[in-house]
Amino acid sequence: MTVTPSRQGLGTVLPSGSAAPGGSGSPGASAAPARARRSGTARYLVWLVAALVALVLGSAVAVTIGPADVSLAQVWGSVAGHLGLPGLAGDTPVPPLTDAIVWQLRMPRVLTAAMVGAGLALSGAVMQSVTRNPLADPYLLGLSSGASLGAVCVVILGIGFALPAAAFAGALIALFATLNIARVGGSITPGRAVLAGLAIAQLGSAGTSFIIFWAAKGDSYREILNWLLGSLAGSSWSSVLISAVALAVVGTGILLAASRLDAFTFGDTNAASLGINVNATRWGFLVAVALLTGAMVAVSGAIGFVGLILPHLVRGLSGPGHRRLLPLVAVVGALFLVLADTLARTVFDPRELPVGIITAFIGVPVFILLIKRNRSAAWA
Amino acid sequence: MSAERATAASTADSRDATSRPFSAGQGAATGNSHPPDDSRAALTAGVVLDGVSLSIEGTRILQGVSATLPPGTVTGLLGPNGAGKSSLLRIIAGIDRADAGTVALDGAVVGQLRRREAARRIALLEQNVAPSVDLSVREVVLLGRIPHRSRLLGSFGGEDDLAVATEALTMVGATDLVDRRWHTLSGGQQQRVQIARALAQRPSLLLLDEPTNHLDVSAQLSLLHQVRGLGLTSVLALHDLNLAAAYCDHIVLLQGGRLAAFGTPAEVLRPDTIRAVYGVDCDIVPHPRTGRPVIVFSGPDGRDATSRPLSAGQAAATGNSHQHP
Repeated sequence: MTVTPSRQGLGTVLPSGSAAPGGSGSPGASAAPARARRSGTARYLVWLVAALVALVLGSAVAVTIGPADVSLAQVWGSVAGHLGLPGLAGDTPVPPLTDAIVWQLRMPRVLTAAMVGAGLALSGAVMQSVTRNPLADPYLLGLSSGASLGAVCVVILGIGFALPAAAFAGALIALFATLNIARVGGSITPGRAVLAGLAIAQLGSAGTSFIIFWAAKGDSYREILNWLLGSLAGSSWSSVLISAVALAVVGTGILLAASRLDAFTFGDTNAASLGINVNATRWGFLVAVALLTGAMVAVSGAIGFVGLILPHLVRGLSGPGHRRLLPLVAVVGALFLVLADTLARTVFDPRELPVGIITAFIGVPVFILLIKRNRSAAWA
Repeated sequence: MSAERATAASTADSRDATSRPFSAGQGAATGNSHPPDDSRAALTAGVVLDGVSLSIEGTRILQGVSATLPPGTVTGLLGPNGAGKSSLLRIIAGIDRADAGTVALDGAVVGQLRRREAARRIALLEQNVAPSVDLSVREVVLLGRIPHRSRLLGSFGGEDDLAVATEALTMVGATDLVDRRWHTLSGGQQQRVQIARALAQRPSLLLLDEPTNHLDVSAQLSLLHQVRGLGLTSVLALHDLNLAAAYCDHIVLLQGGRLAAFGTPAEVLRPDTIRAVYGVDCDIVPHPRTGRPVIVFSGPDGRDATSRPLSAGQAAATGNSHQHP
């Protein structure tokens, strides 16, 4: 056989050396990038751990903040008591009223905020990847308002237990509608997707407002605002349960498949040539995002800018690879919404703002900054 | 953990090497990547196109294209715009399915391979790609390892991926670019990095869709030189007939989705064939140093291109004299 073996790998070609004019096969040359990589990994782990610590501390502090004074020790005592760890609870018993405030009011709210923040940030990162659209996010593309509409429908009908399912259905319908409107000749441009999302979001918001006006008695304004702008004021342990289960199930699935998101970086054909079943994978991820968004909207209404902004910020720390981006963006998203919600309920105390106002106040300037900095074609 | 891996890999290597004493190189390649299936490789090595046809919404894109490309050779895919070059590449890559006919690589029918399996054997470089986020060169090359990661827990591990990526960058002479951002690279550097990404897939077949587009002449030549130097079976869609003549072992010439000619550059690139396919006149002269065919084009009707009236004044003058007597 005179021809080169066809199943030729690097191992056979490399030693010839002729194809590597600028490179060198010495161990030093390959060790340097490996070292750089390891230090990059260490830096990433530092960020991840720091974000986790900040999340735990931030959440604990958030529980202490509010009209009634609660100390960190009391938070710890109450939580340890309810988790059946009285040995760790400390010496001074927590007064029953304080215990109720911590365990029945503030803990569920802070935990729900964390779950929702993580879920929305994950959703945004995934959508930005599979649509190759840096502006993709459940709020901007209409999923959130579709989910709100679905949720409000079943609330009005009095079948509250179907809330997450209805929100999921609403998010999914909104997603289909947006992508179908945006599609021209088989391809979806980022600009058209955002315009289509705008239309669907407006329609969903109008529908939500209409249904509440039509059916609700008394103060419907606050309820409308809570669904449209998002609010965690109604959080209970059942909200924690819904959002935590959705995050655990869908989030784990997304994390396990994170590597496949990277394959979309250079477009569909490139993804296909890397062995990805492009359509099935994209729709799998999008349905997962609709599920996650639906669950989050069901407990908190439509909170904007978390999914849009945080992936861009966190990419600066983790790099664009999704195996690193997704875990960190989830933790940072959780931290961000815990802090934003704490602001929402304390800044204008005793008045309470829908948290979406805070996320917009923070998110819009960041977004404008990102637009100014990114002049690449993908943002056109 | 990594020591365990290394041990496993080396046993695989030695097992491979003993079972196939005639091709130690193959053992090294497969031991690192995926289980060998070389029983098929022995059947018909290389790429065999057999009656490949494709229609999209009633429009015929490809019609009965057949050709045999021996392993280790570089094949140029030529033809006018819309001749079906990119469509044929996508079918060879296993991304699109042919309506009729088959593509076989080393005896395995590409259309019947699982996508990941195809992606471990065939790498495709598209033309003019841009990433949606700003990746580093290292991250771009690591994309090539995706088909080699396990399906369920593919998001974890991949220790040896980095070594493969470094090797791939070394092969294209781009190790110095490893920490650069994609957007800071020149067109030629981007293509070299994309080739490194393709090599990280450890393919036995490399497909390139107009890889010399938008490159200056020096980058075009060094890129094609590099592709030849890899020793992989390669298929390149090209527009420049002279580049194809200089760097390809075989030419597949398409016209309107049909195979117009197939053979060595000297066999395919003839004045009558080029006239029939491209509608231009040319002369073929031997390259003064290599002896390979060089195509010298002439203007329509065989005239010297500069002899045609070019200036508006001249055109107006001739127009006046001929059409308004």
